[in-house]
Order: sequence, then structure tokens, then C-alpha cells
Amino acid sequence: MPDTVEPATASQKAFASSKTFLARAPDPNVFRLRAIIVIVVLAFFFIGVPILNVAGVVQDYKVNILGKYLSYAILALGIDLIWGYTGLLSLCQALFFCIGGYIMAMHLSVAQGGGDVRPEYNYIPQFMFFNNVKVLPLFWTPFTSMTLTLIAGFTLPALAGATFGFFILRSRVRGVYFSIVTQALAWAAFLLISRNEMLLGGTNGLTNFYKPMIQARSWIIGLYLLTLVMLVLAYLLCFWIVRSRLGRVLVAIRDKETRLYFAGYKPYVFKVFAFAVAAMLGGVGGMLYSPQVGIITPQNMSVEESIFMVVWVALGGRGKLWGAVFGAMLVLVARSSLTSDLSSAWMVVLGATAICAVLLFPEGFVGLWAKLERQITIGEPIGRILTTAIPIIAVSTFVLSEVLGLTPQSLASPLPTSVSMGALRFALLVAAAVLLYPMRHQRLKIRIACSLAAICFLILSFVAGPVSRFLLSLVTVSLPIKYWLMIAVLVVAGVLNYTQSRTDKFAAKARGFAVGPAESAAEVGTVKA
Amino acid sequence: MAIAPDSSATDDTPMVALTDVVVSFDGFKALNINSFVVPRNQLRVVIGPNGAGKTTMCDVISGKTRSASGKVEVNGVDVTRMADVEIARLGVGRKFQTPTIFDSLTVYENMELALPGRRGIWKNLFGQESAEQREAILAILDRVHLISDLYTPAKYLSHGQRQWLEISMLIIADPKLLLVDEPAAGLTDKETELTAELLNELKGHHTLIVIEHDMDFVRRLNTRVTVLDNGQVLADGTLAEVQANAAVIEAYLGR
Repeated sequence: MPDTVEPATASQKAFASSKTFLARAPDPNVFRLRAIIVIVVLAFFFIGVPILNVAGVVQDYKVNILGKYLSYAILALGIDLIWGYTGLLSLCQALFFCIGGYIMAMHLSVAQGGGDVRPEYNYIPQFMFFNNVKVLPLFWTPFTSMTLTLIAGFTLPALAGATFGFFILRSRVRGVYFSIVTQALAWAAFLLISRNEMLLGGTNGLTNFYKPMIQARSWIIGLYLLTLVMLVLAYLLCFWIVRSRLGRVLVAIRDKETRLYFAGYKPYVFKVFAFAVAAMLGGVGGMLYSPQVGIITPQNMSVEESIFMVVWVALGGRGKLWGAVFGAMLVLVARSSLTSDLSSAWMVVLGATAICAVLLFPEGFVGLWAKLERQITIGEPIGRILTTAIPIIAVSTFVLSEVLGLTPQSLASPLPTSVSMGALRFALLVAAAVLLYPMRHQRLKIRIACSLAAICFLILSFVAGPVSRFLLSLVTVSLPIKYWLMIAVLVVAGVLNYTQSRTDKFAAKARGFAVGPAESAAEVGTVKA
Repeated sequence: MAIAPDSSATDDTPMVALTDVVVSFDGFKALNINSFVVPRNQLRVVIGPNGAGKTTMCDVISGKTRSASGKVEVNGVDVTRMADVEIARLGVGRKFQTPTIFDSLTVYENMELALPGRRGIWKNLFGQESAEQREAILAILDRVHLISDLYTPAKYLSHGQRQWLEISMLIIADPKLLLVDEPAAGLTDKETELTAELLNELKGHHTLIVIEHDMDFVRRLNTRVTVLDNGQVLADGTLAEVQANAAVIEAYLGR
């Protein structure tokens, strides 16, 4: 065996001795998995969906809705850039989305003009003619040309972002105060644009565009593919920024901004840059939104919308760009499905999701995926890998089937009464069992209260008829089967994941180690070496 | 690692000169210095009991805190009213009491951010570090035994490793003045030895102000010592002289 040459330069030594050098590149299995998923997803959305649409499996309006969600996803990428990487929670991203949206809408409504209502007024948008404005206002005139509209759509949101960012961030405002200022900005803009005097359609917004854009199949597929291409381009832009040294400066700003001051950096320059890029991405999303939805109103830039957008990124996971896209699709699909099936309870579900995301699921699906990759790298048994993978697979299937309208009708109908009665009885039994747990508590009052409650639940679970029906009417059991299925899968997977992590901690403590990601990083090194 | 000695300013100008500097927090005088001068390329150790104002003095020099009155000069430039970023760009590097590094970034990326130059948007988007810079980073990391943890995220490092990473970040930035706040805190004896070696190597080419509590470490540094107490300079001289000074013994070492 030839002697190894003693490494001479420091970099050779680094290569030779780095125990986590190979941790930089993912494990080959993980890499293959990622590659397969990327290829399948891109092929499905670029080729599969149009083919399914032409074949009649997926209806036109579903493709249109998918295009709308993808334009929101572009905005979500911007939010991930400014919040996930730079650590600035901006609550006014919907504003930049609407700047882009309104710009495109202005061009589309001018191009359409009075249309079928009053063809002689075909050079001004319909709402102006209804407001007795017979001459196109000066600030509308650039938007009669498509080229200028496109230029404005890319640059104006970015300029707005840079300007607002400059004034807000220059004084080293951070954290909660920054978020409050952005929220005030969103609110002010909403009030301003809602006024009729602004000649932007007032509270009704801008509408009455070229109808075939949301009706004719060629337009729908065309706009959908355009949005998809822009999403991929936006992703590549963000990927490039984040992988460069500037991306690392943004992460450093999130971690320890003070250290950067003393290293001679001016963090606010980088923050303004990230804010401007996020604004530009929002504007691009907005520009693609208007033609696909056919209307844009000040409601699209309300504070609730901005907060809603932040929930997408929180649930999908910050810090990895695809998390924002995934979260956006998930929450938007959930909203459209749940508002059609549950209507009023959607806000409760949204609030509960936001709270659960913060308390139980702070790393989002990105964290779950990272755990999956770690398990594959270490080579854990297939059962444990599946436990982590099941929520991801289930949620992805649900999102795809709902957005494309592929959910079988049997799953979309409500649960049969007998099943829901049985489930309710079972839930009451479980509640009774759970209430027996605090029986070990010291205080007598708590023991008495718990045992009384447990007995009540036990009795209720056996009593049929009016009482159960009354309880059932309290719980919204008109919920279709698909949601119960999802809830069941997620609860089971959640419990399994939880017990898994507890068992890990327990076993590790028994062996005398502290458990944490450090252990798996070290294991990665030893397994690969 | 070749460090060229600074030759732009006159050799007589002291690197640091504090004159009548008063820093008060709500009436409590944290710092009240008549005169504190550190000549160029000297290693000065500042010791004193807790609460004596040592870190406040570093804060004032680096721009973290503004003095109520007096004059602070770094390399002849009046920095009393300057922002911390400007002072850092003048060539002042600082190591904090608790290791302040970027936890989400790897060791190599931490060092890369500390490299001098390239503080603008364009250069950070498009630039790459040069081969010499990469070699310099790896050479320093080799000395502090962090070379096998190049791609470990900094949050997984031990306390001693974090201290060394921060010191390495300071060294690679190549500042004219280094303010090192408790470099030996929480380190084992062997680690302390290596830290002293590192700082001694910088002696001839950079100016250093080291705050420390560990007397063995101070002895190893073998240089002039200033004692602070209650925000004022109590004594000045070699360690032996200072340890023999009656006022110092009463205030600090005797207890």
C-alpha cells in the first residue's frame, strides 16, 4: 500500500482531517431523492397538468385557480427571503403584491375600456365612466402601453420597497417595532387606495378585463404556464442570492446583527436590498394574479391578507425556499376547501393552525423534511422513516387532489351519522380515560373534579339518542370524510413522531448522551468516514 | 500569515488615547478616566474588579457607548462622536465577553464574513474569496484546532471553540487595534496557553488591549498592565509593580 503524502498546505489538511467535510454534500440517497422529487414535480406541473386539462380530467377553472395560487407562491418566496433568511417580519407584503396587481389591472382595464356597455368610451376603464370621469387621468396614461406596464410592474414595487425600507430600517428599527411599522404602512395604503378620488376604482377595485383570460382554455393554460415559469425563475433568483455571500450576511443579520456592526458592515443596506427584492417578487406575483383572477380590490392589500401570507411561510417552514411555496399552496388550498365546506369555521381553523404552528410545529414542513433526510442519511429503519414521511405525503396528496379537483366524490360527502355517532362515543371514552390521568394529583379538589368529569363522559358515551344528537350538533360533523381522514392521519403521525422523539431522548439518556442534532451530525461524519 | 506593519500614520501617535472621558448611566459614573494612552503596536492588559469599567472602556473606544464628555482618539482620529460601523472601518476589532458568532453559519462561513473588504451589496453578491484569503483562513483555523470542523454550524461548537472562533475572526479581519474582552474565560489550561501564544504573536504588528481576570494568563502575556477600579485608572506598570502597589492590593488583589 503506498504511503500517503503528508498534507502540506492548510487546505489539504482541511480536506484530509475535516470530519464533517462530507456533511457539506448530502448523502447520495438523499440527493437522489431530492432529484427525483424535483424532476417529478416539475414534469407534473409543466407537462402533466396541461395534458390532464386537455384530456378533460382537470377542469379549466381548476387550472386557473392553480395559476392564481402559483402567483401567490412567488410572493411567498419574497416573504421567506425577508423573514426566513433576514429575520424581519414584514406585514405589508400584500401591499407590494397589489402594486404589481394594480399596475397590470390598470393596463388591462384601459385596454378593455367601456367594452360591451358603452363602446364609444373604449379608451377609459368602465368604472371611470360610471364616476363621470370622461378623460383618462395623467397617471393612467403610461399604462396604456404593455411594455411600460411590464417595466413598471418590475420596478415600481421594488422602488417602493427600497424607499419604505430605507426610511424604516435606517434608524435601526428591529423586531416587533419593524413589524408594527409595516402593518401601519399596509393599513394606510389600504385606506388610501380605497378612496374614489384616487381614481383606482375605490373599494370596488379594478375589474372588467378581457374576459377570455379567465374563460378560454388557451388563455388559462398560457397564463398558468407563464406563472409557473416565473415561479421557477423567482426561485432560481432567490436561490442564487441565498447561496452567495450576501445570503450569508442576511443570515448573520438574523443571528447577531450587533456582531456585524463591529465587523464593519452596514446591515441596513442589506436589509433594504432584501426588502426591495421581496417587494419586487411580490409585484411580479401581483402582475400574474390580476389577469388570472379578473379583479383586484383594496381587500387584497388589507392587513389580514398580509398576516395570512405570513402564516403560509410559518407553516411551510422558513429558511429553505421551497417551504414558502409548499406552505402557500397548502394554506390556500385548505382555505378554499374549508370555506366551501365549513364557511364560518375557517377563521377558527386558521387561528388554531397559526397557534399550533408556533407551539408544536415551529420548523414547519421544512423541519420535517430535514428530519427525514437525517433519518435516511443515518440509515434508520424504514418504519421510522415512514413515520416522518407520512404527514408530508398525506398533506401533498391532499393539496394536489383538492387543487386539481381530483378528490373522489365519495370522500367529499359527509360522514354517515352512525359512524360519527360511534366516533363521538369513542372520543368521549378516550376523554374519560385521559381525565383519569390527573388522579395522582395531590390536591383533593382536583381529584374529585376529574373523577366527576370522567364519570360524566363515561355516562354520555353510553347514552344514545337526543343527548348525542345534541352534542353532535355542537360539533360540525357535516365535515366531509376527506377532512376526517386527514385529521386522523395527521394525529396518528403526530403522536407517533412525538413518541419516537421521546423514546430517542429516553434511550439516549439511558446511554448517557445528550440528545440533539449534534449527535446526528457527528454520526453523519463517522458513518461516512 | 504575513501581516504588514502599518506605516501610514506617524509612529509617535498613540493608537488609543482617552482624555477626561466620563460615561455615566443614570447618574452612576461607570467610567471616569483622566488619561489612558496605549502607544502603537503595544499589548496592554487591563485588569480590575468586576464593575470597574473595563468593558465600558472598550465600549467607548469601539463606539458601542457614547461618552458624556471627554475625548476618545483612535490612531489620531477623534472617534468620540463616531458610529460603531465607522470606527470598525477605521480598523478597530472587538471580541466580546460572551462569544458572539453567527450560530446558523458554519465555521468557515463565519470566518469568511470577517474577511476585510467587500462590505457592499455588489461585491457580496458576485465576489468570491481569493485563494490567498482561503489559505489564510485555513491556516488560522489550523492553529486553533478548528480545521476539522470547517463545515460544522457554529452552534454546535463547545465554549472554548467558540472563543477561538471569535478570536480567529478578529485576527483574519486584520485590524490595527484589537479589543479583546476576556479571551481566557472558560478555557482549560492548555487552551489558555494557546490563546496567550496567539496574542503574543500579534504583539509587534498590532495594538492590543486585553481585559482579563486570570493572573496566570496575564503573566504569560508579560506586558504592561493597567488597573481600573470604580471607573478610574488606579495603577499602571508591569505586573510585578502593580501587584506591589498598595492601593491596588487594597482595592483588588488583597481581597
